[in-house]
Amino acid sequence: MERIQCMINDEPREIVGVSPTMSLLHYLRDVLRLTGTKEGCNEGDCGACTVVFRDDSGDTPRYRTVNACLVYLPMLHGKQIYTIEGISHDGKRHPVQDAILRNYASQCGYCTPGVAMSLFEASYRHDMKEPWQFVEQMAGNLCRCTGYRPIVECVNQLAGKGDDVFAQKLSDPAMQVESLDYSADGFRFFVPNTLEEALQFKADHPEANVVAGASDVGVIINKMGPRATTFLALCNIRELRKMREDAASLYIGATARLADIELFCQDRFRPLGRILRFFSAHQIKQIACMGGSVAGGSPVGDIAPILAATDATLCLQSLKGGVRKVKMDEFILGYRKTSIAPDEILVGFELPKMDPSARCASYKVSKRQELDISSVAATFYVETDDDNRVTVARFAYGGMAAIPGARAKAAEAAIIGKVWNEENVEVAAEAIERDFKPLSDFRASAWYRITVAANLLRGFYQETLEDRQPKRMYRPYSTLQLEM
Amino acid sequence: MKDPNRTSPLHEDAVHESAWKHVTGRAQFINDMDMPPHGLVSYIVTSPVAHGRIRSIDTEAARNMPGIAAVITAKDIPGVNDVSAVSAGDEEILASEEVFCVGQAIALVVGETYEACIAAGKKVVVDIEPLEAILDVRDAIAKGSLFEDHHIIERGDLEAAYKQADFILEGEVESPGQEHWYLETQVAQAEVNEDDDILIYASSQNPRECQAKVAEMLHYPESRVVVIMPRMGGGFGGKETQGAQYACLAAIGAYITRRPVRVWLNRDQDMMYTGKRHPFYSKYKAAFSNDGHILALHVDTYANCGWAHDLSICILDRCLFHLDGCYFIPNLKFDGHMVRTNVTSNTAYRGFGGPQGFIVVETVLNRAARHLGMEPVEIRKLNYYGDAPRNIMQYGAELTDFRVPRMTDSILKSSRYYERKAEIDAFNASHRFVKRGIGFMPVKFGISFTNTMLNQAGALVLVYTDGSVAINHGGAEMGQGLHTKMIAIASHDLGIPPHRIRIMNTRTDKVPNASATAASSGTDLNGGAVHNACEQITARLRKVVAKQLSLDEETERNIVFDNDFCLVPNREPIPMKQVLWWAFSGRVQLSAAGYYATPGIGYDAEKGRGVPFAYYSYGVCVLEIEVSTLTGEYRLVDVEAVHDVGDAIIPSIDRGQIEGAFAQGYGWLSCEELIWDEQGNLRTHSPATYKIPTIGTIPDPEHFRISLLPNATASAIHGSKAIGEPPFVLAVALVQAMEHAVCACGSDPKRDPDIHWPATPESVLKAIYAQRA
Repeated sequence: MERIQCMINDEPREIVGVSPTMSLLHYLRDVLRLTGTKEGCNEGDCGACTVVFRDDSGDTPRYRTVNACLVYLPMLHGKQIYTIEGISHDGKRHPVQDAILRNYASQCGYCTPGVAMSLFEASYRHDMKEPWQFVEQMAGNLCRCTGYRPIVECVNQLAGKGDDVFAQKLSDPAMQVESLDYSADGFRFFVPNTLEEALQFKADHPEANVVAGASDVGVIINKMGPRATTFLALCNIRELRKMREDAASLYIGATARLADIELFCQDRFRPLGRILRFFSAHQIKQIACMGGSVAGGSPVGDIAPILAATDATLCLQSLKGGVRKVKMDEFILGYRKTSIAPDEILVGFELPKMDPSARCASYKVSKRQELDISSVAATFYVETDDDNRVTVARFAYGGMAAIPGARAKAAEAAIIGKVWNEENVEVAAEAIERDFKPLSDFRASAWYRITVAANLLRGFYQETLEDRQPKRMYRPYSTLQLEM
Repeated sequence: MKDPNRTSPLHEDAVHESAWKHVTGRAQFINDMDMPPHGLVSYIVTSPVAHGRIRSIDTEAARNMPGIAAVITAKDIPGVNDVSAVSAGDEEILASEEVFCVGQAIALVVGETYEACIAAGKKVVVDIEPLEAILDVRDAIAKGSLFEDHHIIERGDLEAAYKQADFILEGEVESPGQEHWYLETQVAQAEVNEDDDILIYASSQNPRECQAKVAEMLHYPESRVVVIMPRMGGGFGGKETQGAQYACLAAIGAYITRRPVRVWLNRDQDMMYTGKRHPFYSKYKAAFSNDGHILALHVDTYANCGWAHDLSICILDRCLFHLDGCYFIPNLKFDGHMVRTNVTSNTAYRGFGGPQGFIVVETVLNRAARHLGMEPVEIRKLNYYGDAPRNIMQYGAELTDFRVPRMTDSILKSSRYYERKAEIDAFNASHRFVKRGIGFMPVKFGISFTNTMLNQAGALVLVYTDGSVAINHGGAEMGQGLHTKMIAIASHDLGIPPHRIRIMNTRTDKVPNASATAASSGTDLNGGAVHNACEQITARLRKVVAKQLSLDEETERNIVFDNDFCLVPNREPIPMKQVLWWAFSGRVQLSAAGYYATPGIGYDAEKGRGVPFAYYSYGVCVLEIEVSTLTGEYRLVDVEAVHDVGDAIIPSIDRGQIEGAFAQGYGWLSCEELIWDEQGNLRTHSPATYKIPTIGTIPDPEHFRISLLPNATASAIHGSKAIGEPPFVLAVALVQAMEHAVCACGSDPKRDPDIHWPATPESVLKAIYAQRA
């Protein structure tokens, strides 16, 4: 198939001849002249361009929000999109629109369409139970006027209450499309339906830039221009989104949505489950995945420390070589350099199940708790023997070195074989200064990074005294959830 | 107060008049408008250096790029190349010889698409000789990089007070800048007509200034330039003066190409090019008696103005007017300086120097309280303005109807301040890794433009014979609900239901010479003008009815217009349409131009004496935070605030203003950090790096309790008070709360904490470590 097939507000669209690096935001605004969707930042950080798509990759169809500025036209292939113009029905406002009016939740009105679309998704979600989910749902929508209180009221009133024509539409059959091979404007975008096709394409086009949700590459395309001409988008490959629980490990598909992982791992793998609350924005979590976070090799990626500390396995696959399994230290070779071969695709992760006696927690410290890039991220994993002596210690950091998931080897060495107590942890924490020489930048100074890196280890000791794999608190003042 | 006998929408909650359009996506912002046929877009070529002399600009290659209609530089401007506010004459629309900051506009590329314009923009060759740039305030002071204006307010005898004092405190306070982060970035679109007259759509709080600047630029009379302002996606002061630059650029583009031209900044450009809140650097010397009274306060305050004047002098004045906080200070000298640095020219931002003044006096009082071992609330209550002679403010005006003391007593009780403080102290004593802090903040905020001349407004009210109404007024709607309030006022005054009243786009050809919608004055001024126009019309209608029904004068005076009826005592209600038809057929004018000028104000900046404000808006706030002593991260746990808005015209709108202003103020002091590098490049120019509050920053509704002061009838329109800026200052309560928490980390309760604002986690952790050292 060489044409992009999608539905926008229930109208079928075929797109051909338009540059595949055009974002959905600009397609809506400039081509379809649906200007209700606003541009606020063009990098997925404000939510003014939030739209909703129907997702059929899971067991039951559902709506998901996405930032239209980070969706490129070929990624629309097979998608049903709703914009703010499409959620009124029969000339009547949608209940979320009425809720915004009722709660006085719009002032200047510029963020409002995006807010409405996030509320729209919320109203058809039936998995919002915990208080944190209500805040998380709206955390990707910046509003400068209201102070958010009325928006909180809206989501509290609407979540899970959607029982109307849009709920019924979810039981309509899903849109079926063939794999897409789209070329225009000197760019080629391949959007296959199967992993096999993707592997074949990567074997034939090793130079292809692999994207899953494009939330990282998209920012580069929008702000600096595309750096590749051939793209391989994995977004339509259902098998890559799978997650499952095996006897010894959890398997997370490379493109499993962070939003789904967050819920799946809540109790199954707490260091990941609780930290995802403070990853990116709700909308980004619907398209972003662990594969994307790790494959780019970004030194501030928050997933890598978790993988490194928990001794996770990355599964790489190529047409020729089949599946190749590596650990993080074999995967990351240097600054933004990984051991993915040109014909390989990162297909999934094996997270080893933790013994309940192991201590493990993840932390993320940033200027603003939500929707921010880490100043310091850390995951600690400690096993002790019957005498409370440390047998295994893996302390992995983000933001501290040129590579993500960098291990604090001196600190680890300082504690291994020692009794796990405050005094010995203090010695290990002081050793962290020897492990890293972090940078100063506009996120944090080197002093702050090194101080916090050590303090997180101290805090980890305190936090895991009772609950060795601590759960998430509602609205913690820090990801370090000390109540003492 | 609500009149029980009337059905008017005054003093009742109401939905923003555009809300139904906001929620359906139909509300059009300027960048949403259909481009007129043959319309062009643009790209601004800007300075890459913080200070430099332009040797040459070569536009030849750019002009010859495909899809380019024009490349415009300073030499193409036929008239005055200046967009400065307050006639400073120091801000070129396009730089001609010298550039003063990174991001200053040098050339405008106009073409068919943004891609074409950007590509051509890269071909514009600007040869600049770099000159020394001053980026740091202290460096600027040391090098004497100051603007000439220097305002002082003083009274009493400082030296005598210092001698008489029991103790003296000296120190410094730095308050940060702040990016407006209106959701809708700067945008303007211009077109020319058959006479080469200019029509501009501008996202501006000050359409009149856009009109005046464009007229000067083209050597046109102002009557040949029309500016239309449909709506703004937020302003917060950032579009009071700064919008004029883009209106001028769009206009010169249209003038030269004779085609419609749109100038729109994307987020990064907007953040890099436009001015921000002024950071202030203040040095103080304060004298106290041992019973806690402040005897003297000398503040030398330096506003970091950036490279040009903009509104800095007015912002400095408002800082000087608010350095007293809510406190009577018998001897004082407030000495205001304007520092010139090579960053974007700082500008109006909600509070306009006021918050920067408050934070100084609040910090001083906190220090004094610590020194004395006094409860910070007590030292505040002790020093509040009071009865004569403790009711004279620094500029000689008398403070009447000071509502803060009673609001203080009330909130201390409702928030359980003292109990909670004791609980927090106990909590802190038993917790190593988490500390809490509580803070109280009283606000007295002066209402009026401090430039007295600006306190006037006009309106044009048109009543049609079918009973529908169209209102033009000079105010600009930026989300604050001004239009909604104008509808309520007109509906009340005319007795016509709100749904039949339309507010037309703000246009300079309907209401001339309007002031900026700023200084929280929108409702007071424009409401006054709308009210005046409505009164003219209803006075005529009463006469019409009296004539028609042969009523005596007494009965005529008692005619009321309410809910689409004319109510004449002891008669059946007469439908408004009937009355309007009587008027029309009797050849009585059904439209009126209204006008309002705030009475009783006047200020002499040279002498530092006068009555700058018509009245004051009051507020009180108690907030609580929880801090991690290992990372410096913290969370806002609970906020309670009461604000005085008089009899709110629309309570739901005022509540929204208070909540939103609080959140912005909290962002100013907590997470919003502007960072420039050593070359003068703003490093935090997108939401990826500049962090405004999110929904997670604000506590759950049961812990975010904002209320309006009851029984608060005031003097402005229909008993109300202004609302836009004052509640921003409530968030300064964070200063006391953070100091409380940080002090709890050290062993010496008298040791002053050293907190750098904004209190990012790093700043807080540094303060905690210093407190322990």
